Amino acid sequence: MDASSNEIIIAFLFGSLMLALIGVFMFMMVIFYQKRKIRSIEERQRLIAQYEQAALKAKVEIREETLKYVGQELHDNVGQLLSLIKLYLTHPETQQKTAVTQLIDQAITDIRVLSHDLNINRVEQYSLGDFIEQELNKVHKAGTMQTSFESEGICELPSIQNRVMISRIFQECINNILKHAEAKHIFVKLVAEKGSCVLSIIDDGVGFETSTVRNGTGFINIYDRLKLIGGDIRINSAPGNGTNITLRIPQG
Amino acid sequence: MNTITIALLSLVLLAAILSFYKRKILGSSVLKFFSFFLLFQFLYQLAAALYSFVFTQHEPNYFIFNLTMPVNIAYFSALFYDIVKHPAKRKFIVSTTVINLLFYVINLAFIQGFFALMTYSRTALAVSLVIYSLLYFHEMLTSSAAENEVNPTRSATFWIVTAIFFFYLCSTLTIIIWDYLVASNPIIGPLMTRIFGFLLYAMYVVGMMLHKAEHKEPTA
Repeated sequence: MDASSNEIIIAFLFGSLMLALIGVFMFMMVIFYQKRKIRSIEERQRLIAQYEQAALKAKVEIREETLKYVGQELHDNVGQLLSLIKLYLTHPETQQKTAVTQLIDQAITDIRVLSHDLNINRVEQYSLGDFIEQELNKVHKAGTMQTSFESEGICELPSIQNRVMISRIFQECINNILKHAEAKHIFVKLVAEKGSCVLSIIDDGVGFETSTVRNGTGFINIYDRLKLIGGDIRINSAPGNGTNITLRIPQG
Repeated sequence: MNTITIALLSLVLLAAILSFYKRKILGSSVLKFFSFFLLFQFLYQLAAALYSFVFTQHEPNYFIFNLTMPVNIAYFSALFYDIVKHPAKRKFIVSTTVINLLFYVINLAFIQGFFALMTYSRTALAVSLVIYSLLYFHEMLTSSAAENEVNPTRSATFWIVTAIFFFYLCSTLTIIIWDYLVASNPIIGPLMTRIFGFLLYAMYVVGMMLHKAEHKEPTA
């Protein structure tokens, strides 16, 4: 065998070996890549399912909250008015006709307001600012706390589900204040800044040790929901110093 | 000029032509510039071949390769900087590029000089490129934005990086054991480097042929 054919054989063998090596390498890379892609798609689907479930749960909770509120109002307010009207009508000699008419008008107005509140799709129909205002009006109407609301810029959340979740988080925060804070004032501020909505909920109540309540179900729900919509939360509180909760929610 | 040199040059030219043909769908501007880079490679390799085989009687043409080395260092670094997205990896690419260029100047001025083949600088470049390729592969297998990416076999970037990885890894190892190879069989060393060259440009050609444009997320 001469040098030239030797050269061809070596070239052929070496070239084949190199090609095989590159082929195996590329094949392995593609296999690993495909596996990762499948994992990534599964993870994304899982997150979407979790997000949809959380949004649905928040929606159901808002409806429950609304029904509870309407039930209470019917019992405490309209029910009382109607009982009073019945009493007046049973003893017509004691009261003037105008007083009964005023009571009936009051009852009609209250029922109209309640029917408006009973609109369980209001989160989807109104902006976040409007929803907050309505919720604060309810608190204000109860007469135990003063509320104030301030809004700067336009806060438009990207999807209805996000709006539902943040509305539920807001309700949860207000409920916590009503149940535990013993506050006299609630200050709420909604500001649009740098592609985010910043919602601050401040009360002048008894405050709490932040480390002790972080593992409570309410706060875990708030954290989980915020995580799903890509937001974050900052809680500043200390016993006797009130509470300041700041939520940052992405707008885009 | 022998047949193998002509075949190799033809392959470089074919890769350049194909990359010009696919230029519009190559994605980033650095990758689009790859067409010009291949044309540049073709031209300087043609010049080197003509210098040694046509204009002179087998005079060494190392100075041509030395002259073009900074362009290779700069372009490959820009290419990897463009395709590797992790900030820390990008910083590493920038720093090693600066070091490579500085070392090239020092090597040119004080160590190997302009007329000898600057193997030290070439080895430094090869080691850097192998590391950059590994960084790219690592990112490819761990990045979270996988769903919208096309299959790697339909991406010119993947073929280019794989070609660079194998070419520089194998050719550097060959250079390291060059003396042993030449002692055992004088034809095997030069032959291996030519095979590496063929594979490098053949993979560029295949990558360009198979390349498919990436999906774009619809914007609202």
